[in-house]
Amino acid sequence: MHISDGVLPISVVIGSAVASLAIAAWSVRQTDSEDLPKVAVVTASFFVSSLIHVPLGPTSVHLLIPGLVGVLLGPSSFLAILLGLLLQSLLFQFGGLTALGANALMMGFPALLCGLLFNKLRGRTQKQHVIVGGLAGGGGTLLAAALLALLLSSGGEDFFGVAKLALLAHLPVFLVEGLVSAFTVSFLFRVKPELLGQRFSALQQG
Amino acid sequence: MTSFRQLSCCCALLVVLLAVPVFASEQPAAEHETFLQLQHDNVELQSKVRRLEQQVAALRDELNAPDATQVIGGIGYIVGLFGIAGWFAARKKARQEK
Repeated sequence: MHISDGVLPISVVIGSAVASLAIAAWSVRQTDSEDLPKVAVVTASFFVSSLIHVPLGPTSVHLLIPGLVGVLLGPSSFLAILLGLLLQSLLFQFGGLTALGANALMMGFPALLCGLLFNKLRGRTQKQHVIVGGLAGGGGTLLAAALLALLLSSGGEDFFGVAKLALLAHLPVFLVEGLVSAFTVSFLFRVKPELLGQRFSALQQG
Repeated sequence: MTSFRQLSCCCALLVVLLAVPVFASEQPAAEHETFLQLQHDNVELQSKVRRLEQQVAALRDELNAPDATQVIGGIGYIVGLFGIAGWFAARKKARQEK
């Protein structure tokens, strides 16, 4: 699920690049220096997860994990996703450099939203953590697919056609990512619960 | 003697003339056979070409797939960049504490 070079109109490319730069700057300011190793590890996981392919009939789709990145990093997730996508486009030729802004918005916005929702709804019990984490994991990709359709529709594609295709193609990915996120959250809750605590406090103060 | 020669010549001509329609009727049959053979070859070739096309597509996928060096290099970039960021953050913190 990457937008390639030359698909989007110039105005959308520039607009999304500016927007994602602004959000990335905000994301950097939100990142505490104590958290840098954690952000680095999650960024590396995000970078590598795109290589895990889920076979699906004649084709295959790969993991995206924006939801899980958001759950683990909160406000820093946008930074992680921008960096991960930059390296993916440079090294793996996924997407393109000019479409990087649009791709970052498509993956980063769901990550921020899922992180915020997870933080609000996670409660105190392990069960609730796991359920909310799983939903955030699946929902992040769902939202990313919807944003993909929205961005492509600005390039003249039929919104509902693309949305249907993207949602159908990624149906197994939603399930797998929900499971992966639920498993990760459950593991971290038992082993290192402080990793799930995010710094949305600054966000809530404004 | 000459009349016998003439007669045999006529006979030979007759045979040839009679035989021509026989050859003519045999020729379309041979052509048809070649046509069938060609058609068969064509089908076989097409399936071979299709197989080759599939192999080319698979090979292209394989070539496009990132290999281990790229993956490890990317992880190295991430760790290195965050290492630099962490170094700057630590320096800033140390300066503030002075």
